[in-house]
Amino acid sequence: MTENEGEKPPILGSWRRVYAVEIGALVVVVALLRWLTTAAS
Amino acid sequence: MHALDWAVLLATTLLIIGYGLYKSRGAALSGEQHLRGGGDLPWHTIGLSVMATQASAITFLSVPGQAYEDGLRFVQFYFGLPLAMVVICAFILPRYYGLRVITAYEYLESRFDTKTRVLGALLFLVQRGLAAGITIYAPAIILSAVLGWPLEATVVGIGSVVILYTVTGGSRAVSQTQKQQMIVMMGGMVVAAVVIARSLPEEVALPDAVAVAGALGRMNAVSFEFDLNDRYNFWSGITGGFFLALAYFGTDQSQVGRYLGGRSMAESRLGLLFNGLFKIPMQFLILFVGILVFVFYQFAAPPLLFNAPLERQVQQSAEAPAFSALQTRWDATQAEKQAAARRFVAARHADDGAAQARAAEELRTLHARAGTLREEAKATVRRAVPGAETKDADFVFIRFVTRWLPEGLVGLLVAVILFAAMSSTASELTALGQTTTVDLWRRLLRPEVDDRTLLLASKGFTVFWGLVALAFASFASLLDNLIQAVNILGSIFYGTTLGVFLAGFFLRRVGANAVFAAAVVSQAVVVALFFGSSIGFLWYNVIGCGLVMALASVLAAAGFGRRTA
Repeated sequence: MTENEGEKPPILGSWRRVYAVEIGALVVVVALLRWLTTAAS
Repeated sequence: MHALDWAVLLATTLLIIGYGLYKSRGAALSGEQHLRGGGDLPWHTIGLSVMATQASAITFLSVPGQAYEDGLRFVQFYFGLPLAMVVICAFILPRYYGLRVITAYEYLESRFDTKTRVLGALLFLVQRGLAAGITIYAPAIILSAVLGWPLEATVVGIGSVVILYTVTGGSRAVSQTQKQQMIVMMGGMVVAAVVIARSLPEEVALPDAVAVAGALGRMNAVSFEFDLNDRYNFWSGITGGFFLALAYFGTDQSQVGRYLGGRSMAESRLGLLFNGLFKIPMQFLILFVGILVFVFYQFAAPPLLFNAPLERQVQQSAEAPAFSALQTRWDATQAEKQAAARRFVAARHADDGAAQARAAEELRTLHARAGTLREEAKATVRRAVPGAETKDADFVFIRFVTRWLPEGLVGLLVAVILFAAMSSTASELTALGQTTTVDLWRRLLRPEVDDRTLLLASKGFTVFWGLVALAFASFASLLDNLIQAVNILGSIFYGTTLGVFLAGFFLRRVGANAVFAAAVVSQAVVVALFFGSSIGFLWYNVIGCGLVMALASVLAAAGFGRRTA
C-alpha cells in the first residue's frame, strides 16, 4: 500500500497536501523561534 | 500541601479515572477488543493519548529546570518529530493497518518470520519493562522529598491506581483517561505560566521578562551553528530527533498501541499529525514556564540549593558553618542582582540603550558570581554528604511551586505531575500486556485460545507487568544513577529494533534469515561497544540501526536468506 491509498483526508483533498501543511507549519515554527532568539538577544 | 490542594488533587484524579472507566464501559466485550482499544477512537483522542504517553512526569519536573539552567535550546530536540510523523503516516501506518495488527511486532512475522517477531517483542519487553519501573520511581522520589510523602507509599499509590484502570478498562480506558489527563496537564501549565507572569514585579511586563531572560542568554531557542559536540542545535534536532522519533513512534508498542486504536487509518493519521503539529509548541510552553521562573528569581532570591532535603542535611553536618558563610554571600549577591535587574527594566522603559547595556553587563557579572557560589555550595554538599547527587535542576520547578504558588494551584500542578506519570505508565503496561499476550503467549503457546481466556490472559499479563514495574521501582534506590542506566539500556536495544523494522519497510530484497543474523550480530557489537568503548550511548541508536541495515543488505546480496517471494 502506498501513501495515496486508503481513505481521503477530511480536509485539503489529499494526504500529500496535509503532509505539506505539516512540514510548512514546522518551517513557520522554526522561523518564529529563530526570530525570538534573535530579537531577545 | 493544604486541604484545598488535596481536594483539587483528589477531585481531578477521581473524576478523570471515573470518566475513563465510564467511557470504556461495555467496550471490552471481547479479548480482541480489550487488546485493540475498541478500534473506534477519533483523531483528537489518539493525538492527545500519543502526546500524554510521551509526556512523563520527568517532562514536567525536569524541563522547566532545564530551561532555568540552560535556556530554551532543548526545544530543538523536537524539530525532527513532525517529519517522523509524516514518514510514519505515509509509509508505516498503511502496513500496520493493511495487516490489521495489534502489535508492531506482528508486522515482523508477516514480513520476515516468527523468530524475528519474537526477537523484536523480547527486545521491547526487556527495555520497556525496566523503563516502566523508572516512570513510576523517578517522580515518586522527587515528590516524596519535596512534599514529605513516604517514598514506598507514593510508588505503590501511583502504580496501583494505574494497574486498576488499565486492567479494568483496557486500552480504550487508557486512551480516554489520557485525553482528560493531557487537557489537565496543558491547562495546568498555562495557568502556571499566567500566575508566574503576574507574580513578577508590577513594572515588569512580559516583553521585559523576555528581555531579561535574553540578556542572560536564556532565549536561545534556535541555533544553526553546526557543532557535533553541541547536543542541541537545529541540525542535531532535525536529524537525531527525526531518527529517535521514528524509532519511538514507529516501532515502540507503547506508542503503536495508542494510534492503532483509531476508528480508521485516516483518524490515526490525523492523530499522529496533530501530535507533530502541537509537540513543539507544547515543549516550548513547558520550557517557557521555566524561563518565567528564572526571570521571577531575578527579582526575588532563589534558594542556594533547590534540593531542600539535601540542604537540611548539610545544615546539620560539620560543613554547616561553611555553608552558612556561602549563604550570606549568596544573599548579598542576590540583592545586588535584583537591583541590577530593576535598573535594566527601568532603562528599557526609558529607552536608554546605553544604560540598558550597562545594566545587562552588570546582571551577567552578578549571574556568573552567583553561579560560582552555587558550585562552591555543591562542593560543600559533596564534602558533607559523600556520594550525594548535587545536580538539582529537577527540583527547581517543584520547589518554586510549593514555595510561591497559591493554594489550589499547588494541588493542580502536583496532579499534572502525577497524571504525567500515570499516563506514561498506563501506555507502557498496556503495551507490555499486549505484546506478551499476542506475540509470545498466543503466538507460541495458545494459538487456538478462546476469547474469554484471551481476555483473562491479557489482563493477567498487564497485572504481571504492573507488579514487575512496582517491584523494580521499590528496589530502584539500590542502583546508582538509575535513570541514566535505563536510558543506556534503552539505547542498546533501540537501534537494533529500528534497523529490523526499517529493513522490513525499505530493503525489499532482504529476507528473514539475513535480517535475523544481522540483528543478532549488530546487537552483539553494540553490547561489545558498551563494555569495551567510551562512545556516547546515544550513538548506539545510530550504530545499531545502521549495522542491521548494512549487514542485512550485504547478506542478502551474497544470497544468504534471500527473499524468494
